[in-house]
Amino acid sequence: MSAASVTPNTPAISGRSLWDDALRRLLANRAAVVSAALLTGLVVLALIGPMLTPFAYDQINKNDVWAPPLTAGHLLGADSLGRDVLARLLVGLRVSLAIGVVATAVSLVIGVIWGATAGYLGGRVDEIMMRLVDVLYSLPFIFFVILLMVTFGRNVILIFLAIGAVEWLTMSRIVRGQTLSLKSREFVEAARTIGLSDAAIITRHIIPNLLGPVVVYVTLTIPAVILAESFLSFLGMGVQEPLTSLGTLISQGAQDMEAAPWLLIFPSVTMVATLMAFNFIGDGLRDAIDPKDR
Amino acid sequence: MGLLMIRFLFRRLWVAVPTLFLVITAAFFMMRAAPGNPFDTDRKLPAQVERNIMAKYGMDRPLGEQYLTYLGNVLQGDLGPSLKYQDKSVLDLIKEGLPTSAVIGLSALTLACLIGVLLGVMAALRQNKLIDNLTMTVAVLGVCIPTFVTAPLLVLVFAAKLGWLPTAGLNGVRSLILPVTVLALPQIAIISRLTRAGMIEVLRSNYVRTARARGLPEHRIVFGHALRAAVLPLVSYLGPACAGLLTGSLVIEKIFSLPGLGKSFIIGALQRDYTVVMGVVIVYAGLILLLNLLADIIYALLDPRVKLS
Repeated sequence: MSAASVTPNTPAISGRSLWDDALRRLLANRAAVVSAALLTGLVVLALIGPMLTPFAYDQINKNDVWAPPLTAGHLLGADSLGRDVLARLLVGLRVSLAIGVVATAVSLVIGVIWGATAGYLGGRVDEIMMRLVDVLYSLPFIFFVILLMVTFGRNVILIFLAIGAVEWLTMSRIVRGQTLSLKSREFVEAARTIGLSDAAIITRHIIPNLLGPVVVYVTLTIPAVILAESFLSFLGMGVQEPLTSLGTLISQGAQDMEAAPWLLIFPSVTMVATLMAFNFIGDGLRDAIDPKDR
Repeated sequence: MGLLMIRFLFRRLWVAVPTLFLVITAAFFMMRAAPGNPFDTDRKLPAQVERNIMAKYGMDRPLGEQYLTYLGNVLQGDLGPSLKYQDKSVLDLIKEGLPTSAVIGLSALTLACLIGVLLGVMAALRQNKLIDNLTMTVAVLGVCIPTFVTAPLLVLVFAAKLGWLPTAGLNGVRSLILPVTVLALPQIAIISRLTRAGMIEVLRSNYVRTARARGLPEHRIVFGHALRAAVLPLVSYLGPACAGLLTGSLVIEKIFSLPGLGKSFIIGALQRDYTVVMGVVIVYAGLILLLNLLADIIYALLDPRVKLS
């Protein structure tokens, strides 16, 4: 970013920046483009869908218990309490996506600051900071997340924080590696020569230039977080009724799958489609930003 | 090599000890901060009875003192009695559960490595051809379909509808087929991707070109020369893979009602069986550390450029 502002803006010859190139390569990747469209659709559905369904997600309809899809006004059927599966699915999707985004944001903030600081300062500080990451890496984290849930009760905010706090480790490793190679570059030398403080160099020069790999990793972390939340929900430690998430819906659907397979199928398909979309976009971004890994 | 290896082991032990200490400390205080205690029942116990029980397990002492006592006991290999199962020690419960969990986990890991490497090599040799694209699409699917979706579906098809395999429980080898398969699927997906990427890179390297120039047959180039270097990223993935298997095993043991360690942990955590929870966490943390160490040793043996340091 700082490097880009140095080049003079001449409208006659429009140069192609690295990002233009990356965008072009991304748009040529069919799987990534289709996934992006699919994901946009899912996000829109999750945002406005719950307002449009004829039933509320927690509305119990005694007459519609186990209603199969397309009966009694339930497009995707109803569950054991006669609640509309479509309404619950949309709310579940909303909750899962929200957890994915917020927890990833938490891991992004911690991971980037931690990794950039360790990589930039180097030496003993780096040694200690990354050794701590190594130690945390070898902890059985799912156990601690479960203990957190047991200790502080099942609480959506806590799920955000707990999962985010687990996922930052890989982020900090990636960021540190990139920082190590960035810090010997000329523009960082230049910033140091004019007397910028370390903090200013990290925030204004190192972090903006880390964007590429970080964006890629973010798109791969969101599905990992969604998956982690559904594991918790499956074990009965995630989002609490009547609120729901894709994992909770699948877990309930699995219990009744022989009597009412639609309870398992629709949430599972939604979940798999969401995760696949994120993964294909992430892979596409990686190929686009760093084509040598293809 | 021998001396180097010993020095390496000591260095790793030096990291493992604080890690285990951290695990024990964090788990101890988190468990104690949880509301309720193991002796909560639907009916309130008379105050005197509750005091007596607390005193019996040393839980009337200050928390810090209990912590130090516990640490001392663990150092002597004593994980204490279960607070819920009257006549069982935590070690008894671990001895009952660990073999089941270990058999399932290790079988899944072996299966995943064999199939994953095979698929990855096949895909790499036919890069960007039909079989490659097919394998990699299936691999993405494998990562995206959670075990708790595949498990009920496979049970529905192979156990409920076809009746080929038992639905749940632990009863002979046949009852292990479904749990192991379900656990291995996501790992197969990840391992095949890692192997493919590693193989493609190695096949471009100079020594493979030399081997080709010498006119070696393709299978000797691939399996004799390239594979050894291509699986290196896979070896460093083994640590995280074990963590993934652990997470998966919690779910698998629940779905297939298998009497493994994960089940003891979940029940223990919900019922505040402090000592059982601590015991299982210690065992799992120890296993992860051990497997990470093993992965590092294998890495060094495979890659002569890496010195154990």
